[in-house]
Amino acid sequence: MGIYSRLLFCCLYWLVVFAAAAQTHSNTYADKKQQALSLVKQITLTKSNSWPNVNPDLFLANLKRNIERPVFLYAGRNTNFCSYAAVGYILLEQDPSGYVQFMLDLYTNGEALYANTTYKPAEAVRKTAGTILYEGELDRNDADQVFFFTLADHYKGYLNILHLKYKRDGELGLWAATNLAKFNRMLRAMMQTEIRCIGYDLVRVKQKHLVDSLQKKLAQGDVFLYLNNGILRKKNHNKVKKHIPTHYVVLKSIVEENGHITMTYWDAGFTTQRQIDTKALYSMLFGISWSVRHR
Amino acid sequence: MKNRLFILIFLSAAFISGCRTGKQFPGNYYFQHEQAIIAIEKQYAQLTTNRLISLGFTDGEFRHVLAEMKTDSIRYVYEFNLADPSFADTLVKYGYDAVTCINLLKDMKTIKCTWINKLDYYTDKEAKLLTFMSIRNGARTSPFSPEKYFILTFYQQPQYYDENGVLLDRRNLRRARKINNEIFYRINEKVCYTVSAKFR
Repeated sequence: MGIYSRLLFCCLYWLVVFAAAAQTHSNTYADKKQQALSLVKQITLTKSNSWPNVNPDLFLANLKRNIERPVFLYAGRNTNFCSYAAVGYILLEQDPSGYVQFMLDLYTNGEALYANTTYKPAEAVRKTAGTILYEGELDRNDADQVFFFTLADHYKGYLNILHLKYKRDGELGLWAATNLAKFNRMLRAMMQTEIRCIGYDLVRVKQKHLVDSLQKKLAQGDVFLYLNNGILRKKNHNKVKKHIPTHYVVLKSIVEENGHITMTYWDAGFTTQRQIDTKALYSMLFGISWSVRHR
Repeated sequence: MKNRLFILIFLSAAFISGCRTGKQFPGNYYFQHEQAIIAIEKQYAQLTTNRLISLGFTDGEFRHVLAEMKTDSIRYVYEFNLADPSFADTLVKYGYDAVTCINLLKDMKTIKCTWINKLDYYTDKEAKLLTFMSIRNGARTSPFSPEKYFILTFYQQPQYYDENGVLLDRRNLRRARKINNEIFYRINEKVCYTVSAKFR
């Protein structure tokens, strides 16, 4: 056998191996999704004593929609729930049946165990879930309200230190805010994998070859960006801007061509693709967290 | 000493003027520009019959266009110079009527309309769409004053208001309906306004 034939054989072999691995992965995900869906379809819920304002029909419909289309998980228009939504999105992508079981336990018992952590939201939070108004689709997504309120009540960081207990409209303020360390803590607890991070709450990421570095991280696992939303999603024309990060997104892909970067990211309710210049990316990026999948 | 006094007076004047908003804004703005505003709203409704798109200007000079094109699964965000021919090509590529779109942006520029999009809102857990339009306040009193936007919302059905003209939630006629966390006021039965620090 000549060298070219051997090379061709080698290439074909690896192609088959990769195709088989990709097929297995997509099959596993489809199986998990199907398992989660049948779990939801089997269940009939009645009004929960723990969550007096949550509508059981809306709760189940929301769970079903989340499993079928995790991309539509929506954090609301003005809330500080984006970090919890990012965690929920990854959970739905990786462990839909675990998510469903966790949510059903939470609804039925007012508390639930996930990955060796017990979540027991306070009464004020349980009474508020299901009553959110004027936040777009979140108004009728009762399961998402339960999930976001539970995580916001459980995880605390230094930004929440003066707002530890939920008060009315707390979801719009510091009660629900998430600093980078708290975000990483949530990821570690919910994803049960190694989470690495660079960045700070008040200092921008200064890394050479940022796009290359992000691509390498994407090859290892899931990548989360901690961004200044005032630059990502401009909302006024003020000359003086706040230089603080306020938003979390899940990076899906990033490519650079002629100094222009095309990013695709999941941003609490949508997958967004946008072009951005390198300078803007550096000026809005404060933190990168990424999971490392151990193969 | 005189210099310090001058700086102090200057800074105080700047601060005081910065705290004031323009006298005529929003006041009678809607009625002064009613025809142009209604024409823009109609053009936008026509443009978004089949597919949603949000349009706006990112700069104070109304040269840079921000377009958010929504498909079922993905939102494409592009920034262009209004005069850039590739903008029209991109609109066509995504299935929009480029001529209507560019004419709409030119009309928006004429009345300093910064942003227009469709927003979903929920009544009795049912989704409905409103048109959200923001107009930049041209009458800024000083460079130190923060930007203010005159926000208009257009509904398909007549809305409920209290005796002070505050937009109410249909389910509970004592509760003000908020859009983007702002309280809105009556212009007519299907159009409301507010003044906001954000254009979207």
